[in-house]
Amino acid sequence: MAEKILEINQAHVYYATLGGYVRAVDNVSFNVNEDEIIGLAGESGCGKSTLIKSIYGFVKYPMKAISGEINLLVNGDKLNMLNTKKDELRKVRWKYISYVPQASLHVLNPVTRIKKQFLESIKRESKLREEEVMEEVREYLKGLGLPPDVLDSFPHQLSGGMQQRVIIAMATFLKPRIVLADEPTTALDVVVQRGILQMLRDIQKELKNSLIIVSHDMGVHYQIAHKIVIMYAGKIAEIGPTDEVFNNPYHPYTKLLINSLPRIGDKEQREGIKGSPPNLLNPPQGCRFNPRCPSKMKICEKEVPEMIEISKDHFVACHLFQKNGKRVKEDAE
Amino acid sequence: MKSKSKKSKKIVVSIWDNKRFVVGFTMLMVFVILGFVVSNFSPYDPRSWGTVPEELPPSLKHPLGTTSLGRDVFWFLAEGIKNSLIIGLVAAIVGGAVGVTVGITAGFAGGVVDRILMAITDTFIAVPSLPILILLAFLFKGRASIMVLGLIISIFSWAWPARQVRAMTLSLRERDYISMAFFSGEKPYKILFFEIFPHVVPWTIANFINAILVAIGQEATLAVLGLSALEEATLGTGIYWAMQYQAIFRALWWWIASPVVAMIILFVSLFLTSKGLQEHLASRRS
Amino acid sequence: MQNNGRLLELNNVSKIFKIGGLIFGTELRAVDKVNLTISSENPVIVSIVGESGSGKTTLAKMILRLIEPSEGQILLNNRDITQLKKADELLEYRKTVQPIFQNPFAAFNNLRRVSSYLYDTAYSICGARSKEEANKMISEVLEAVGLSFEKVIGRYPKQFSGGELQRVSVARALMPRPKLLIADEPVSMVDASIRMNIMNLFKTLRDKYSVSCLYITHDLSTAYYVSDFIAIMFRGNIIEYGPSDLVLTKPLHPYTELLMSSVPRVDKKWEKDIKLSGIEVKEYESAGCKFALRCPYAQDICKKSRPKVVKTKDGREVMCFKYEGKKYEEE
Repeated sequence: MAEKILEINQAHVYYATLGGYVRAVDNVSFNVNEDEIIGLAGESGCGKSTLIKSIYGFVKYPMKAISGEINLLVNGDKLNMLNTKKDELRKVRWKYISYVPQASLHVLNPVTRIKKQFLESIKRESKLREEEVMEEVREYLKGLGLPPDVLDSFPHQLSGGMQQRVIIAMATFLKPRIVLADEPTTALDVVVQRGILQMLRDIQKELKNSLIIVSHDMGVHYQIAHKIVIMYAGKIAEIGPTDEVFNNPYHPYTKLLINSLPRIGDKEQREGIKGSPPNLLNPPQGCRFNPRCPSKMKICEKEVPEMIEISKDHFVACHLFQKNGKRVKEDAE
Repeated sequence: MKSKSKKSKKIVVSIWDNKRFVVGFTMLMVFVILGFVVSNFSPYDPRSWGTVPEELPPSLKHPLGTTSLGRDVFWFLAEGIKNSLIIGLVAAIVGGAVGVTVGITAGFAGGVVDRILMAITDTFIAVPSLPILILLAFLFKGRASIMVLGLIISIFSWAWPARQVRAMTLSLRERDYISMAFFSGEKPYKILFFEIFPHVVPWTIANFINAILVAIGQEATLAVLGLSALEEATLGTGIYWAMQYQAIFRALWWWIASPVVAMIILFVSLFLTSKGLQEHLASRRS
Repeated sequence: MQNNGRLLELNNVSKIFKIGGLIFGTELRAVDKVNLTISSENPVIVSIVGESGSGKTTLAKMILRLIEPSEGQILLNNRDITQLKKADELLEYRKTVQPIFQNPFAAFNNLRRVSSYLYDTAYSICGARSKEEANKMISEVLEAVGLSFEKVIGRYPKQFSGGELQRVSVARALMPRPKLLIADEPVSMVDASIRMNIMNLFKTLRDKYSVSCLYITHDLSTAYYVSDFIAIMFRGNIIEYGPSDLVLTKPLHPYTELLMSSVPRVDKKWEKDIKLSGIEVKEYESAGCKFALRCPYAQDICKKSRPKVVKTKDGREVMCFKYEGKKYEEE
């Protein structure tokens, strides 16, 4: 029976701007269990990146946690990542929860050798002497297929893909219970991407922890995520086991999105979704997707749909489906 | 598309929020008012001497004291600030105009034009400016006017901006929207003026203020060597005359301190203004 | 314009960069003796697929005359494009070739109204003589891409979404009814749900407006969807070329195989694991086949000499020793 490790309750995280609040994460709730890979999917501006940063506690002005909780359940304690001071956060970061940023961000210190950066990130946690720690690090790198001499290199001497693998090694060395990966393979070549996703998946299998991966590439989620969370305009449209959501999507957005993805070997004409994602400063009333939804009903313009469980572990927020999971007859518009 | 929410907090990202700029600009304005407004009320002609009792320490009547030549330090300083600022402005404007023109032309045209222009520019960068300035100032034997002085200093102030602007132009030229303009049929000169130049302007403004600073400093250096417009009042000549009459050794501290301190504060104000502007522009871009 | 049936012809085109300083620097062949032909008979969409460092963007820039080839010739309707100097020649060029850039927000100067580019194109390239004529031309192309005239006129780039702006880009490029569109990663910065709208536009341009397109991308799925032919580039060479169906569903070159097995598909899960190399070696400079260091089929000859381009019996071209010999080669 998998234990809950992360609990997100009605989280609201907004950005303060000149024109008002941008509602990047607008009433999001779901749970993450141990030993699973969750894919946060959605297009630009859906809030997935804000959400994952909030889970790590990265809520800095102009980002603001308005209400709700993101509770990290560790050692029987509940730690609300939205509401915790930096030194408390420091105690859990790297050890219980770690964060792998986008590959293009170059987060490694360019003037320090990798070895030193490794030591810095784990220094407080180990009681062993430096040489012993380095020995463990070398073994760990070897296990991941990385040549140990990366430790003596500077970041610029390594390719983008190699840098990202090093960052992943650093982020997982202390065996954290949750690993957050924010677009870890974007801007990397396809072959390198494959290697990195594989690496993330293997580490998860080995540590039996939880991996939350953000990607706008649906293929990434299809390949490695157990569960997929589809976000749209700051809200969750659908959550469920990956294969199920791909083969039998309920939410019209999910359906249209998945149908629009081109597949090699299939030249059938595909259509995109008309219109464009909404402005999060002033989103549409009711269901955020209603202006673009082919199944729109009158109620969709007025009320925000609630999230209901339509089949085991499969949730959807859409007025087409009633609380008992039955499909509502579509009103003629 | 944008809505105003009553509960929202507005971030007004304006130049006035940048502390450095505000402090620097305020100080600068004080100087500008002193130099261009207050100095007009001077009861004494800045070029004449013997108008007041000599070597008086600061008092109510003479807030910064008087010099060995019988001049009121405060009014001399006010006039001096004006002239120094004029020199700075002339050098910055002329230098900036020439520099930007050369830089943009070289960067955009490329090829032979670029090479010739850069050869000239590099000469002016490599040749040490001070000896040449000294030579030129010497030719005028200390009788140059403020304007001429500004022009002399501008001879060396255009080269480095030219290099910078050329580098900016080179990178701007690679931008997709420049290619788009070309494929939309826009003529090259129009592309230069309407597409590239507007993106060079922000840097130009920050550099402009910097150039004023440098020019004032160069004038002071020339003045100390006795090569500035000695009959005029500038911050530099103020120091010159004080040194000529051994103000330091004769404990006429108000005479030497006033122009020196004024210059330092003016530098700081220009620096802060420029830095604040650069920060603001950089934050706007990101 | 003379025409021997070839719209675009690249003959042994190379681009050599010198890296690392004047004295000790080395040569980098970003594009290495590439040959490619697009016929002018029927409009086609040809994809150039490659990863970073493959040279595909450099190739596009050379065709767009943004950089000059170091070796070889680029012929457009039989005219060498590097020799075009006069105003009317350049005009003719711009009527024939038009670009679509990757980032729609970088393709427009954000201080200018988007419609100003449309009007410029109408007057300067399409020869409109009055505002009414220009408006008519603009309305036509905007309609073709699914945008309304009123929605576009007077607006600045920031007021559009990425997908809409990219469609304006396509409309502008369509105005002179070019024969060839060069699209460099046109949908990689556009949201997934809107991507198909633009990919379908390219198909419409080919079918309804007879515009051929050179589609440059790293994304195999969209390349498969939209192209008639695919060229796979690796380290400056086209290592496989042929009908899109064949190349991607029955890849010949080992690199194409590797690409195909690495793409995160949405219909088939990955089968086996792959191994990533250690510190990557400079594959550009190798004396033999550039892919030999990673190739699962590499033989001795692969490490010593460069393979030639082989024409196979099923109408493809492939650059690999595996296919030299009677078994695969066209007689």
